[in-house]
Amino acid sequence: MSYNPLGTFRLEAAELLDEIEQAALSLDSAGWTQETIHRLFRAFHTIKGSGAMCGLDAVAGFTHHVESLLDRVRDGSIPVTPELTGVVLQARDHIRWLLDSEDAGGDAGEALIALIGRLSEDPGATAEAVAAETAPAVAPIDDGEPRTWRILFRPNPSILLFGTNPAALFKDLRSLGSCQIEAHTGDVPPLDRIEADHCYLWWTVLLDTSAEEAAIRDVFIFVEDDAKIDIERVSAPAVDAAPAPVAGTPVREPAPAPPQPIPAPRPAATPAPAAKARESTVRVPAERLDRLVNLIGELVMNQSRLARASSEVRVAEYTAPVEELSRLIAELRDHVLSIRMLPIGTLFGRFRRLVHDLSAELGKDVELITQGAETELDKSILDQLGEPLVHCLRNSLDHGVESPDERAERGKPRRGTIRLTASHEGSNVVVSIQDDGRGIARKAVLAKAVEQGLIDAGANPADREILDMILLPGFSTARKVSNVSGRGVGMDAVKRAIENLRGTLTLASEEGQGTTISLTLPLTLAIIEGLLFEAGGGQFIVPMASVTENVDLTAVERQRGNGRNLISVRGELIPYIDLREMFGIEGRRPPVERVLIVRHENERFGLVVDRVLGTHQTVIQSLGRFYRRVEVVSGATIMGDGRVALIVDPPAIVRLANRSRSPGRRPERA
Amino acid sequence: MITETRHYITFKLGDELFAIDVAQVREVLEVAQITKVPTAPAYMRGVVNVRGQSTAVVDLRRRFGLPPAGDTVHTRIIVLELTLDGEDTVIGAIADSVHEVIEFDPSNINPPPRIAMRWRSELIQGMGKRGDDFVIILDAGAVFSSDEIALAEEAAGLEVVSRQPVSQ
Amino acid sequence: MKVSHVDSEGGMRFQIEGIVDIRAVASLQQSLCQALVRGGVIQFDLSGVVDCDVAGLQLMYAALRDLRAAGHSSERPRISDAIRRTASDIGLSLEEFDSAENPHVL
Repeated sequence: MSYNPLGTFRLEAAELLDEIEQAALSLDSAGWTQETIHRLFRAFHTIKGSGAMCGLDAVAGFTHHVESLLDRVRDGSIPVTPELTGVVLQARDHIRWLLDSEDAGGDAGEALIALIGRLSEDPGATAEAVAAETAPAVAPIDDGEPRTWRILFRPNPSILLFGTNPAALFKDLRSLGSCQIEAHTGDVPPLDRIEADHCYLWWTVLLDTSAEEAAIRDVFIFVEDDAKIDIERVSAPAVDAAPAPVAGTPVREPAPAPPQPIPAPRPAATPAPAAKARESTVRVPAERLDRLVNLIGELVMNQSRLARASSEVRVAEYTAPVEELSRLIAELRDHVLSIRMLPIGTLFGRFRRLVHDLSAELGKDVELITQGAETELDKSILDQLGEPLVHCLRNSLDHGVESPDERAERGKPRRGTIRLTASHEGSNVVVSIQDDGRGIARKAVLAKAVEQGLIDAGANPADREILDMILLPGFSTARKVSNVSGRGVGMDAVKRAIENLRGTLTLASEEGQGTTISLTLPLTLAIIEGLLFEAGGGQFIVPMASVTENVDLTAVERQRGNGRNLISVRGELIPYIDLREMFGIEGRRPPVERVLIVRHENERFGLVVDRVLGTHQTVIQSLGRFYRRVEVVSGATIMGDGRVALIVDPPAIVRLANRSRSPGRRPERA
Repeated sequence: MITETRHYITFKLGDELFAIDVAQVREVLEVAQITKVPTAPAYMRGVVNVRGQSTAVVDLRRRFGLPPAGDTVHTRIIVLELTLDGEDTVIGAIADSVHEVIEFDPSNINPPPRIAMRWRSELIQGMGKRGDDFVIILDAGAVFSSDEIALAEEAAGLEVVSRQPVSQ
Repeated sequence: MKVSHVDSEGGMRFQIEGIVDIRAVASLQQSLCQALVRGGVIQFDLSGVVDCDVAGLQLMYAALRDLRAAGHSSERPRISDAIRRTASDIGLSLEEFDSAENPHVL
């Protein structure tokens, strides 16, 4: 399934359209307030803006008409009538239709636009409305009297990362009236502690304008989720309100001062804007979801025990309810898990703008192609994936993709391509960033490594090792050091961030052809189908997806292998790894052991265990920070009897076995 | 620096009496089934189920370089809630025995001595005076901080992910 | 962006030219920290900065502030019009660095 570039926008729009429907419907009842109109306006405004950003000109163009209409409703020049409600609802439906049938073309909604136009010029409008029609549309005027507003704008530190430019916001504010903008520097840390792409400044603005509060809010409409924005009326003229203690004091202290509270404005003439309520979503603390998932895990486990017991007693009356229970629990499990899983597309969507802006700035022509946006990952992973991905993309844009001219010289299309893909691979999700740029110049990397004393001048490392040098802390090829992407290239930072998620990062690159960065991420919080086994009294689980079969291993067969740890499975000799040996488990082995045949990178190998106990619905829990360095175990799960069973990671077991076998490292074998 | 009267839970490792701020202690458990985690350093005893959550357990004896001792009926797991590197963490710590909760007034707490200590002073918040005896008040955050853990790992001679030289 | 420093008797002239934006911030930060560690008297020349964004301005502000606090700066720093324009656009006052509080001011 290929990624629909509109996916993210659609999700957002669907929610907004629902909101519009609810708000529009409430206009028919007596329960609407001015805030209802503002909500409608904001929702259409957002659809217009996001739609235009996604290239949906038809949606943006159409929505513009509705927005203009609502603007006039907002300033009171058009009354709220059932006809208006009808038009708003029709407009909503039309937008939905436009979104659903992007290819169809045809009806651009002329009929509806005409209707909107007629409503806008409604001859039955009140006298004030007619008067207002002559007023400029940009800054809706109520009584024409300027008022002073105090605006607090405290962006999240990460706001610069996604291309927001505070200066542009202030420019918009200035267009509304005269502004006194004050940047507060108290949060700017000492030079060496500044994170390059964090915004430490925050602002207070005194704005004299005849525009309404809604118009001021609209300026911040695209950053309202990424910043704290307070807008309050100041009753007295700005001149009197200006000498606030914060504003007048130049920052002289060398140490960053704690953020100072904004002096409370004198009681405002108008009531403070009501907190915006969104009925469509409910915020739930993540730990409650975690607890829910754990409970589901226990439920699933006990259900399977019940099913087993029921099948043993063979009482006909039990069969149907136990089966029904099992179906219900499975459904419940899927729903609960899906709450925490989010499509990675929610993240991808934010990168389009970044790639667009950065490539323009760098004088490059780059197309971002995303695939697998529907791939779901746990929210906690997604939350921590954004920043590493931004770094990777910046690297590709800055160092990977060549300028159009250079590409043409090399016989490549002038337009470069960056592919951002996500896909499931076993119990992992692999996210890769692939560019068709110049690739990694081995010579430059080697020279730099020698210069930094990482290797000797005469050394002849393998290609793999050369590439991995890029991931070392502080490493960067000097050639473009003055123009690095973000914070000191930071491929080591990316690697660290991914490892903190218990994931891995691998690099592949062909000189002249491009570079691929692959991030393999676990689904830390999920239920997997596991195979439960025992080794030395301990219980372990291996993901079912990686097991192909399991066979007996007798003492006789062991001896026949002559210490070579090979087992014959239907004519094929398969190497096996003794888990008791690797895990340092002592005690008596059973006379007949079992070998789990596991597939890894198109090769099969065996894991010798004591006993296989059967399949198990496994709720994965992280082992936490203290076991971060343990690779062979990817997580833990709580069993029905309250014990903790460990989930083993077959690829890591192979890696560890290979490391132990490599020359000079051979450990004592039992 | 300890500036107010606080309550501490006391426990023993060998002959020595230690204390940890009760604000950091969630509960004290008897030693139940501990699941050993393969390839982990020896001072990491394994994981236990604490209210449905698998929780890492550290052997404080080994953590402090004391000779290992078998578990007895007095052995307890002190479940701590700590904030390490800004991350809320729950961890179990195995002590030979857990005793009472006592109160220390700042005037009864001396700074950790810089010398003549078998315990590293950066792990100690202070020395609580109790009659003629001293109780070692641990800085739980320092004891379980990741750097400390890494140091112990290297000291234990275990194979750890090789550390790359940091340039400059 | 280009960073250069010229050692003169008893001090250093630290010069930044070009565009100081979010992509230049990391490497500039490194150079500035090194200069600050080296100590001595530093003449800060920002007259060649032709454009900057909020991230760049924020870093230069921190540099000016920290250099001044450390007593490294002997002369009034030279600040380009482009910087002043961006600063004024976002309401950041650079006045404190222009003050004639320092006896060495030219």
